[in-house]
Amino acid sequence: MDVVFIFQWLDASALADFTKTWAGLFAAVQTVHILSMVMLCGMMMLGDLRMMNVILKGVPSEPIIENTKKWIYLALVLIILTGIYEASAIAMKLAYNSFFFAKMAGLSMGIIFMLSLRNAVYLRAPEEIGANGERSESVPVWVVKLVAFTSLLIWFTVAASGRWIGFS
Amino acid sequence: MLNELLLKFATWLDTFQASTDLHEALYMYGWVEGTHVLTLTLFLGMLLVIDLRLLGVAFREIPASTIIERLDRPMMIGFIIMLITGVLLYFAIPVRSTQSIWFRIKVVLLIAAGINALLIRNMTRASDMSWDNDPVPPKRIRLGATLSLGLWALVVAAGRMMAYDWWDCHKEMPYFMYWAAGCVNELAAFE
Amino acid sequence: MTTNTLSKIAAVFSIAIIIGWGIYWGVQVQDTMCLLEASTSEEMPECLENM
Repeated sequence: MDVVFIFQWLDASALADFTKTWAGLFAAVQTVHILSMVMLCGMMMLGDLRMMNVILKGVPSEPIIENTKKWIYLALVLIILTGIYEASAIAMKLAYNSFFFAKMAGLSMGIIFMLSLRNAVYLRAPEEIGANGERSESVPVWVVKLVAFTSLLIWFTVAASGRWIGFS
Repeated sequence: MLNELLLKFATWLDTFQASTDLHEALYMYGWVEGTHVLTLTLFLGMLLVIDLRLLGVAFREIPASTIIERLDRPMMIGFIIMLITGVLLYFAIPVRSTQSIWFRIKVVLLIAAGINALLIRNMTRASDMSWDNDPVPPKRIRLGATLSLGLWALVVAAGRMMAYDWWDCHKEMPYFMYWAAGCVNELAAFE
Repeated sequence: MTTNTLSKIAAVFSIAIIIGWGIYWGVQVQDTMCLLEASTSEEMPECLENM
């Protein structure tokens, strides 16, 4: 499937004219993009490392995961909005950049993975990982840790490919 | 005077072969810079969690002291990696960084953020932590957390701006900008 | 969905993703090493042709 037309459309849009005109504003948007990434990856890492029993061991995991959700969603909205703004300025460069496509693949996969498996598995974590022990059955510890590691790997890929777009 | 000394130091660093090598080795430089930026998620991510708890807007069910004490180590690991990679990045491009207005702003903000962090620590230690389980900590603690988040966001912004050359010394600028960026040669030409 | 089914699905998908991104990163690191070699040596390394 050829998606170049999407980039051509973005490149010709009024938004692209605007972003290319205001260099200072563009740099400010870049900063918001980075700060949102910090919020997203920070909150994600807090949850994943907690579930791997690396940090906050012994602290109930449910309130931790529950608290991170709202910030993760806020960060995702900011990341996507600022991301589109940034992309419009260099649309034709991104159309042929493999790291950009790796980043988009990672981002989609990360969101789907979080909403489906990550959330569901963390909700049914066993007592050993700090969930309350009222449930009769829970997901085995190794599966919870595997899911946490996978989540870390996906978001690392998104962040690292994003940084590498600038170098390639 | 200070500007001359700083420039002398930067020029001296610049004479090292390793400095040139790191700057010119596109991929090595990229790896160091990438590590610097990605470690932000660990350092600033953990700081964000701590500050949001101190602001009383998130993680209110968990005692403040638990969040502060237990996240200190991962945060400091991130900070040390950022410090090492940051020094390497300065070492790779010493002269331009020294005369970068953004780098100067960043250093000043870093010092301010450091002092603020010490003040918060002293405040929490001096208090009896009677507010440990309160969803919303006392006002002065919240003020410190707000300052912390603001200062670090500006540090990131200044760091991002360093990549742009709008106000580099070789550009045509007003006297004040040459002075602020410490453009020794351009200042001399003015006199 | 029962917890047992969820565990199995989560395990299978996680392993698949780890292998997938693992291969992706393996190739990236290999390419970077090759470019490093190319930038330091006089001759063009063989690996450049396979990139």
